[in-house]
Amino acid sequence: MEKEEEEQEEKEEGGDGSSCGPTVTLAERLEGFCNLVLLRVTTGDNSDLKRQVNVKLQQPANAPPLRRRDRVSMSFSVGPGPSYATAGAWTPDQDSVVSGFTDASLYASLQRHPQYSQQSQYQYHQQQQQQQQQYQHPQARQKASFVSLRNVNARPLHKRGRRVSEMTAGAGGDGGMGGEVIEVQILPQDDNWGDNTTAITGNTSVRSESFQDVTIIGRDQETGVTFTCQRYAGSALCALVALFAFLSPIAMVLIPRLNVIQLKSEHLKCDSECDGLLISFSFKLLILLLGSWALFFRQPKATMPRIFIFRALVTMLIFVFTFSYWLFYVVRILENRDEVRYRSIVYFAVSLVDALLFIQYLAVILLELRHLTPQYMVKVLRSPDGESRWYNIGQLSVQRAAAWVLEKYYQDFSIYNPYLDRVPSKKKPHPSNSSFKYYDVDGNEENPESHTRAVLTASARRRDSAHNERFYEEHEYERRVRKRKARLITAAEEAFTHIKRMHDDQGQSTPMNPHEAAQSIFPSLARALQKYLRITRQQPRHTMDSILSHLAICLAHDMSPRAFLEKYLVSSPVMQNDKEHRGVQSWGLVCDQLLSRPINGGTIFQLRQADVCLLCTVSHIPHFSIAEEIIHPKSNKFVLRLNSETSV
Amino acid sequence: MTTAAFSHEPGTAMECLSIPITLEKESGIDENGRQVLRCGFRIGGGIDQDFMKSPQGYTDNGIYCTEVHEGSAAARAGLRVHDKILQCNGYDFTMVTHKKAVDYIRKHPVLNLLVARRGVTHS
Repeated sequence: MEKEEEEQEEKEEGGDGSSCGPTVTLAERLEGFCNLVLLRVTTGDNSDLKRQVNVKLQQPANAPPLRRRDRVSMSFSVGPGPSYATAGAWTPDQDSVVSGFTDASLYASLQRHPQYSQQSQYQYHQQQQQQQQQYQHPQARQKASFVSLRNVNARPLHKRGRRVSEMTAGAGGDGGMGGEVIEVQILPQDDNWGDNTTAITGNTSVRSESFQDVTIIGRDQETGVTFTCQRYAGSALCALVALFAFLSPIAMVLIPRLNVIQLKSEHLKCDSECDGLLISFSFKLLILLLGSWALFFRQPKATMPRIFIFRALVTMLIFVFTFSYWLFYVVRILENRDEVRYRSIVYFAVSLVDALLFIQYLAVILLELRHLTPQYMVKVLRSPDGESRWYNIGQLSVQRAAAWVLEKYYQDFSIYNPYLDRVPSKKKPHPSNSSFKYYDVDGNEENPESHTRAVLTASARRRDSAHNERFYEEHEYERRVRKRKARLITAAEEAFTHIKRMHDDQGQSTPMNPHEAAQSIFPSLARALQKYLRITRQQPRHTMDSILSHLAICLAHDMSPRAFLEKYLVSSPVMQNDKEHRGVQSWGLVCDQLLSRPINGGTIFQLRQADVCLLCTVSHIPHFSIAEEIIHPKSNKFVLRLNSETSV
Repeated sequence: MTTAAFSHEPGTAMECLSIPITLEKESGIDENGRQVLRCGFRIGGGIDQDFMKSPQGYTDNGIYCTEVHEGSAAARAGLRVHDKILQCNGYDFTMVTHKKAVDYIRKHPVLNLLVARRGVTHS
């Protein structure tokens, strides 16, 4: 049959048409037998291709039955599409998993082509040109279509590994070419599969990594010199400029005194007015220093991807002011040394300090006060479990709003437990839960559609009962959690009664410090605690050491048993999780508009970290129109109305 | 079953003596100027009311006559204050709501009432 050329890709149910891809020769040792021939070619690479090839084997009437240990070598060719030639990423051998089963009896129908045994069955065919090798022998074209089979439980192939194992037909001693006819019929496939199976990666060969991967690796660094530099770079620059601006009035006042420039001594005399100016100058500087220290001397809260516009604006203003003042100083004062008086220098310096104070006022308003009045409402929605909160936020840029949202996230949201995505159920998953596999053997081609329709209705009916299942499962799960919680609280209370604080030499048993006390009472509640942690899937979060140290702290501070258990019973906020107490948390920010633009109604941005996604949607706070309504005091009178009697 | 007519549980069977009263309504004009038929008495009670809150101190949920106007058709027909109306034109008044009772009374121009009176039909 010519079927080997018509290796088609099939989606879940059948399609129609056929197309071709590059030739693949995979020969594997077959280890299992089953009633179908299902070939699944999947690429384990960064392309998400999954191609399913159903191959039906027709058994000719006169075929001798195969023995169990017979090995069959088959190869199938996937014809070339233009996309494949350019993509080069679909290298089927090491990227593909071909899994399939056959029935022992069907082996009888598989023909082992004599030519192929001599050819390298271990060969690894990559691109189109190798395909031509397959077609060297016209006989090969006509007869067998080789299919490589593999154990279904095998893992997908590693990108770099090459799995070529071989099945050689073993009927007799000739290496397996017995001369039977393999008639392989390929189910009708989708014609367009070649169009959407293009795998585009940065790889140029199988053994290389692509540039995308390199950048992704580089992104993970949270420590390291570059990151620390980046984190403090902006603030360091601003601090430098601010320091320069702070020191310049002092320098301006001190330079004439230090005889750097020669001024006549009578010019340097400082009368009472000048003294007053100097005093006010020093006090203003002190206030400037204290104000800056109070507001701006702190660790930067977040490292933002784009520049922080307001801070850059303020820094630039400071720099411009200081620079222009120095310019004036140099031009006016240093050039006209003869006529200048010290008083005018002090005036000049005082005006610079005034200007700096006003810039600080502007900085306070821009950086601290402007975003305090709420103008927008932002809804934060967490992706894998659907928890959401609403907050009021002021006018901020997108990146600052993201930093603000993250602050609130760590304070308000509960811990995300990925193990609780599916409600843990007691019973084992029965096979009807899994998706229905449909195998077609014996080459019955009549009404494939009706078969699939029957399958679909059966699975749909099963899905309907699955809605109820979820309800009952959740109910059952909550019951079990409450039961274990009750037992845990009882066990903890009992354990805590064994420990009593030692007052003034009661001296019967040896005194212990909190750690030893914790260790001594821990075994009595260990079992209940462990069972509770297991059912709420929290046990990865708490190690034995952490539990013991927490218990020691609670005992040292006379906490009640319920206070000790709070850490395990309450799973919010996120900072309750000890593992989140890192110095640096990295999040990725995704937004359609530029990150330094201010947020507006309808802005949507997303924050990502590992498998947690926070989708933030901004909407306006509505404008409230409040009108006064007067209730007339005369209408404040009431009458008792007895409904109980009616006059007829 | 003879139970006390004035402590009757609505819905249970009861047997008691009663006074038949035939009342013919007289026509009058109410405040809107329309022609109405008046009977001339006020009723209170009903199964939707709470008899313990009644100012007259009634003891069950039946329909009672709380006031009879002077010279009205009701007074002429022999209805007295604190009479319990057991039946009106064949409608059972021991288990009606207040509104229903009013509707039944207002329906027909002639009322055939069966009335229980303390001290007369019962002691």
